[in-house]
Amino acid sequence: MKNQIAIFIVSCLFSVLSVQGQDNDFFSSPDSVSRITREIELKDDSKPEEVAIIVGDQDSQLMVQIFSIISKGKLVIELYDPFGTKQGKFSVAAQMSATKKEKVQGSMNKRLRDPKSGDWKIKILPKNVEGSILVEVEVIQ
Amino acid sequence: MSKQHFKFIVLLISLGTTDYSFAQAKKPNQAHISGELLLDQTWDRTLYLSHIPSFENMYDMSNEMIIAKTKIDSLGYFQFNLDFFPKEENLFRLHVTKKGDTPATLIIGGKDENHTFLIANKDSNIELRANSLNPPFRKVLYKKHSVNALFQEVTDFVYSLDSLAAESTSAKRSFIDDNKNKELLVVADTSTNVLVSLYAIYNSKYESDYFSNPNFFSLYSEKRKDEDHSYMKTFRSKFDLPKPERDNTLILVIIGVALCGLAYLFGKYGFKKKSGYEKLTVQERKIFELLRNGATNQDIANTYNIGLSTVKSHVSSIYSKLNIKSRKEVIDFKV
Repeated sequence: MKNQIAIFIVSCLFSVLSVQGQDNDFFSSPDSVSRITREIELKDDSKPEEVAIIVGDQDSQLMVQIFSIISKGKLVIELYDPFGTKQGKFSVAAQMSATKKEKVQGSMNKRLRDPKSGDWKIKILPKNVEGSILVEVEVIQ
Repeated sequence: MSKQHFKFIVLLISLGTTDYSFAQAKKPNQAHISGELLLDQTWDRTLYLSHIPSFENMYDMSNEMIIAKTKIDSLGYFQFNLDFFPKEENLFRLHVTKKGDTPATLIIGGKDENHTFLIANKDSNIELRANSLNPPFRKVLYKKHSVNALFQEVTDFVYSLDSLAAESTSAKRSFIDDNKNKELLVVADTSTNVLVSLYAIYNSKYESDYFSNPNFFSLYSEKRKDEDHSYMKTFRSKFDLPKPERDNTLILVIIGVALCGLAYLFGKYGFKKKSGYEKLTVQERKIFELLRNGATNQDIANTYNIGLSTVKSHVSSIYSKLNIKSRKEVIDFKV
């Protein structure tokens, strides 16, 4: 019985280490990592904005994380690949009044291996927005 | 109290709690969404239900969209009653939030993805079990409600291929995406439930596909011509797809026959221009015949035993109606 338990534990450990190994392989020793972090404060803002992400031929991974929190207005965030195909979208909307104050949060996580090279774009489309956006991008070679 | 007694009481209490939770979660005769969620300590134990008015709004979040909330008990059970739901099936979203986050929080992608979609109406009895910790709605299983089971199959299919694509090379990803889109269009084409069908389309690359394969969407719209569901209307309006005409042959035949009948009747009684002769009275016609035969006013007066002035009055009326001025013209008049 003890032997069986020992074999079971070793098997489990082996499985966990294998999975861990695969995960590590995914991120294994990148040649270089470029990170972009942008914090955008919006104060009754309606001006569209774009965040460009340049992905080269040699880049092997792309990670995009977008966090937003708003208390007023409507905010649409879209992610486009270099061919102009929409790869993700979300929107958040909130109303702020004298009697009602609310916060609305939206976030998107995207991770891609071997991303299409070219200019990726995050389009930020606010309408009378009070709030903030945090964009974190990692391009790994 | 002995140790065994204590254990027995603890067991009774725990069984009682479990039964109570089940009882809370399952009221078979009442329309409801109930189920069980696995949540770790980082999640708040409130579950929110949002109405999604169209597939365009699946990834929109606002407080106005949240229509109900319920507590998730210590064992993970929850229940929403659907008495206030519409009769027509609609799209809804369940979501949880991280502790400290505002209720209107939507997280898309990653291990913290916090939502799932489902179809329901006021008659739905939906029971689900979400079997994943991170993200909590990754593996959702439905009991009974076959529409949501199909709906979830689409979700799982998309998730599995997207995950595979994210880990693949660009070339391989292209194949995976193409395959995924083809499969989703097949689901859209064959699904009997309009919301499952639209869900498949919205999970495909429908925006770019529409321009490369407009025939599919025209045929799709034609096939679903009897669907007046609001979600279908939104879809049609997005691509300006005309609502296909119904088969109006019978109506057109009836209208055609009616028009022909009307034309006949108008022809007979309405549009046929009366000649002057038809305007004459019976008496005038008799006098007209005598005039054609060369009778004088006196002959006419004698024939009908009327006064000469009466004859003159009739003759004057006949001239006026026939638009003539002499007896010669009376003789030449074609009846």
